[in-house]
Amino acid sequence: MPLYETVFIVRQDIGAAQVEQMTKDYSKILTSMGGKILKTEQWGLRQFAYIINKAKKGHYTLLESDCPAAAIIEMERLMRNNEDVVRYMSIKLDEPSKGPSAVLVKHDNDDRYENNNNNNQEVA
Amino acid sequence: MARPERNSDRNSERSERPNAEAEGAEAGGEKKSFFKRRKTCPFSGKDPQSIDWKDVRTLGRYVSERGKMMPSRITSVCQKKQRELAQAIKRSRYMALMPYVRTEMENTRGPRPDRPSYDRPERSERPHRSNAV
Repeated sequence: MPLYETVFIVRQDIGAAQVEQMTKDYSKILTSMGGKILKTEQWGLRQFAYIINKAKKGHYTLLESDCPAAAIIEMERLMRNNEDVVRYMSIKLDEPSKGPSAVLVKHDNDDRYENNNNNNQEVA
Repeated sequence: MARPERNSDRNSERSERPNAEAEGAEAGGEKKSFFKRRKTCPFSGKDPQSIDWKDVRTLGRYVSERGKMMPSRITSVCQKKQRELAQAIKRSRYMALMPYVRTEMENTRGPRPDRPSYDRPERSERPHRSNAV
């Protein structure tokens, strides 16, 4: 079975607990059709880069699974029908990902910090 | 008899535009230093960076201030990887991790990248000197 990575965005005014519940529901669909969930990630409430349906934020969830294509199609169909899902995208993966995805990784070399350093150097 | 004439023509041409040459050399120097910073493709070769559509921080480096993709002739990404990169940026845009367009207003929030603007290049910075010899 191929590996898939699905990310979906849920509307902002839905609670985090409800998003978890939705994630569970979708995973259940995948598993019930013979799939296996490899990874789930809650990215939390994230700011959009642009306004989608008059909303500026949304709950992002990532589902990585090893399941038949039919299961993904069914899950996408349900997402399409669910009005709370703003956007979804499923991508076939070549190999399972390692560690948490790049979105969750925190970088301590913050831009602001770098700027401060540069300013100090200029002053000195 | 024609040859010496031509030579003299060339000489006169050269002497006519020393300023242009000097300007070009300056701009060329800047351009060269910009290119020299990273000569090889960062996504291939020895321990390459992976292209991931979720990695906004990496993708952001290959996008101009406006949010347009940078051409590979500037970023020196190889053709194969440039295609992958383009796909990744488009995915990331669709999922609203990256903007399709970034306007000037939004730009003032964050620090500007330390590279010459690709969107509105100044003439002197990026002269097309490949044809003129």
